[in-house]
Amino acid sequence: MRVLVDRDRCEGHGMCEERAPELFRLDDDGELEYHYEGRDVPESLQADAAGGVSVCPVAALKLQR
Amino acid sequence: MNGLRHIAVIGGSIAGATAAGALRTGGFEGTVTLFTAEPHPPYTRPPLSKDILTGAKGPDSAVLDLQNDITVRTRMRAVALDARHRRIEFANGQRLGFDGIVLATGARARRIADRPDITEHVLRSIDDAARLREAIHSAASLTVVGGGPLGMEIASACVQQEKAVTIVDPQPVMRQQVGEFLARVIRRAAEDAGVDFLRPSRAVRLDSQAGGGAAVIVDGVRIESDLVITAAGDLPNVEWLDGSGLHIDGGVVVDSHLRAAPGIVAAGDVVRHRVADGLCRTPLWTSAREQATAAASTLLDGSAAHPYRHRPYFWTEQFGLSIKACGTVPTSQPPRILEGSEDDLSLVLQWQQNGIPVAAATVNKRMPIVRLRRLAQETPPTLPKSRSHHEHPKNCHLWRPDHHHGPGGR
Repeated sequence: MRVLVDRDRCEGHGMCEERAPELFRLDDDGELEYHYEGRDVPESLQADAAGGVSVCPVAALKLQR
Repeated sequence: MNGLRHIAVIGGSIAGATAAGALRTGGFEGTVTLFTAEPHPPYTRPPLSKDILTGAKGPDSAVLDLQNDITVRTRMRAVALDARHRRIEFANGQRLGFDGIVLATGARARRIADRPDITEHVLRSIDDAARLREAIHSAASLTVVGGGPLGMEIASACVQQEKAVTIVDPQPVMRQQVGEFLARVIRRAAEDAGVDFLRPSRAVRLDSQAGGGAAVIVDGVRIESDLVITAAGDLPNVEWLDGSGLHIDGGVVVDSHLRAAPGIVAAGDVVRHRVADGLCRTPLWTSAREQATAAASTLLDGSAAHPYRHRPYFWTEQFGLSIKACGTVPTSQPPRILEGSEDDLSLVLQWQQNGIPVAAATVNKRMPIVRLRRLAQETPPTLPKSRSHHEHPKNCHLWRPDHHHGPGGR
């Protein structure tokens, strides 16, 4: 499972960070840092990844199964 | 799990879709069926008044990705509920029984026309957005009735397309949602973009107009434009619950766990929940999500589930301003400006009452919601200048009861 980040859509609400801080973080400029960009999410973090994706209010995150 | 085999979710917006997903995430392995009255699969409303209205994105971009194994039935309008037997009747005559029900029928746009011959445009559904986008495209002048977040976002989308826009509202625009200070910032940005404002002393009426469309009657004066759009709040869809046995009072009244009756929970804009000073509806996108998640856990785990925690969060984009706010912004009290200045339009604001933070907002500044919530609730360690020694109660941030904005409640 991967998470695709659409940075044009991201508005820096930071809800993914609130839901899954071990995966998502807004840096000091409010840009999203995602720890597994371009890589598969480890099994143990997949539920959190899915949770982070689902709370994005602007659908900037998508799951690729 | 609790002997539940088939759970019905009634409603296809963010609350319904989230509840359906949360049932799966919560480990429910029975059947989940989502019923929506619309011909479309579940979609999210915030972009309808933004990128979809300007044409920057197509309506399909609002469609939600659902979790696996959720059956969606479109064009299924629920028309009656028997709460005791958890049976629902649909407009096509079908009657179906369920072990659990999530009520998420949302709200509809309030209309102000008092005659059926008047064409009144509103923005609530994906079809409304598609229709309005075409209508705006071929109009040169528009009148927007209502200066809340929805009306202002519509006006903003119209001036982006170089239309002449007039906003009519008896109240100062945006004041109720973001307080006097930010309302002034927004109004100035709108005026700079060329928007005209009318502030009538009486309620606005619509009249028919030769050649179709509507005219607006403002303090007895008739104002004609190519297109009139009403953005005058929303009404919860509860009429179908008459005779259901549920407690209906300006919404589906629920308990701390979003329960409306045994085996029946509710979430989203249709819900009226208890806050410190009474009952309140919170038609905001994030609240709909949080209610849906809490409601789903209640169905699965009963009172062992966490109760719903009211944490209002609101955002809007208009006239080049991206505004995000947590808590309840006091209407007339000025905020403390923690970062930036009114002139450079990049701001971090905090409102306090009796030395206790009650709300915080950013303008054109990205801040993690975790930090914004902290600013609204407690003194942040990272901003020593605003340090306060006051203790403050938790859960004290109440969205003002029963004010409305849509189309999705953001």
